[in-house]
Formats: sequence, structure tokens, C-alpha cells
Amino acid sequence: MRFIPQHIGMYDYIYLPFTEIIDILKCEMNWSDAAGSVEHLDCHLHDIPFYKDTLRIPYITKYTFHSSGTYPAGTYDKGTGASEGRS
Amino acid sequence: MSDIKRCTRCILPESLSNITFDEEGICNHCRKYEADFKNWDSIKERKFKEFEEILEKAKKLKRPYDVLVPLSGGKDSTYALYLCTKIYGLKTLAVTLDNGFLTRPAKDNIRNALASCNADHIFYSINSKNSSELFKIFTEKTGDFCNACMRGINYSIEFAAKSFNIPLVIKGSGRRVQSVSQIKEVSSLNTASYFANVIRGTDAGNKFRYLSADKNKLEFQKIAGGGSVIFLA
Repeated sequence: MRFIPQHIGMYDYIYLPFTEIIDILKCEMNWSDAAGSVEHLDCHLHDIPFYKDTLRIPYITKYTFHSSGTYPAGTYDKGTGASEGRS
Repeated sequence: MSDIKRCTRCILPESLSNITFDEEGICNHCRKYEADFKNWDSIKERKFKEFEEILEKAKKLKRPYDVLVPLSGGKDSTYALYLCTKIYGLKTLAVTLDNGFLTRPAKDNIRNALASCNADHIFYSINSKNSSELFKIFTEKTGDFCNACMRGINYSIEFAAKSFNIPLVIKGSGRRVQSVSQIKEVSSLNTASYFANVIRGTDAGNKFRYLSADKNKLEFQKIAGGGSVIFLA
């Protein structure tokens, strides 16, 4: 039997709000959000593509796409965005 | 800035070239997400069952490792590692690509996660002098360097899966949490063919040619909404 490695995205099968995931990871995997950010904490250069978006697209800040993406995740609403002043 | 029209749900602005708004002021990206995932509650049990069936099939092959988990030290990949090792007890190999700019917190998380489970690990580090050279070429030729890094990540996955004959790669990703990255303005290419074309004729061409191996094949790691598993007899 030939088995071609299959690549799957975990969240297409199992989904938890990331706030719950972070609680689990802190408890079970000794995971830390370090500087207080839970997004893209893995790369020193991570801000650059977001900065580039702000140059390319009018009315975009480096937070816009992240904030927008958290709406479907159920962790964002307009009030939160307005209070953060990040939109 | 206050005059710009924005989606009443997700705040994306009308300055995006492919955005449209309906009569409720909700954008096409939100509507697409809604159409794709509005039935999640009714299908999540089936998807969960599918997930477990995939894992079972991988385990039955009795390979050296049941699953490969690309591990960056971020929350999503660490959660994938947690599921594979501590919930499902899979023989797990993790693989990390350090592009020369992996942060200290990420390295700490990787070390802590591995100490918390029984996964083995491959750590592939590209010297930052070399990756900087590559990123410079990508930036000069394409205006973007993230694709160079993504190719390196995909290469490390391909390398590990092939070396250990691993049947399954589980990524800390998925369309449900990456809807924004599918917006045209922020999506990008990272195929081996693209990589090969960018570095061709440059000083980095020889040094990094290996990253464009199999450049004529489509990549399997494209996430396709949890598409069907490929088992070939």
C-alpha cells in the first residue's frame, strides 16, 4: 500500500476559541505568551509584512487584518476594536 | 480616516480592491466566511470523527512516526503537538525551521512543549547571514520575503516526512481561522516553482536551489478545507 503523506489543517476538524487553547497550553505545555502577544510571536521579522500592508493599502494599520480575522473567531467585536483604537 | 466606509462586522475598509458591502454594510469576506462555516455546529461532530479516523489510519500503518507536526513555538502549532501527543498518544515527530530570526520566546516555548510531551524533534536552523541574503533577493525581486521563509518551512516538512516515511502532517492551521489570509490583498504564493524562478540567476541561486526541489510538482500542503485523505493502493 502506498500512502501519500496527507497534510491537514487541525482547525478544519477541531475548533476551540483561542482563549481556551491558550489556557490549555499554559497548563499542559508550559507555554507562554511572552511579551503579551499571542499572535506571531515566533518571528523577529513578523511586523514587516504588516507594515508593508500599511504602505500598500490605504486605511490599513498593522492591526487591521488581525482584528478583522478575530471576528470570525468570536473574539472580536466593534466595541473592542474601537476601545483599542486599532482599526 | 473616520470617513472611510468599513464592514459593520469585521471593520475591513473599502480601500481593499476586492471588497464589496451588502445592504447591511457587511462585507463579502464576512459573507463568504458565513457561507463556508455557518453549518459548523451541525458538522463539527462529523469533522471530529473524520479527524479521529484519519489518526487511526495513520497509526495502523505502524511507521516510525504516526504524525509530523511543524512546530514554530506559537500557540497553534503547540496545540497541534498537544493534541497529537497528550490527547491521542501518537508517535509524533515535530520539525522546526529557524529562519535565523526565530524569537527567544518561541524557542522557550518549543523547549518547554517538548519537555512536556514525548515527541521527538528536528530543529533545522538556517544561518541568519544566509537567510538575510535570501530575503534581500526576494524583497528586491518581488517586494516580499515571507514566501522565501514559507518555502523553507515547507521544505523542512517535506524532508522530515520523506526521511521517516511519515504518513500524516498535522498543521496548526485551517481555513476556519485563516479566512483573512485568503483575502487577495494579503494572500501570496509560496510554491517551489515560484521560489526557483525568483532565485534564478542570483548569488543565492546555487546556495538555495535545494529549496526548490520538486518544483514541477504541486504542493500537497495546500490546505483544502480539510479535504479527503489520500490513500492509494
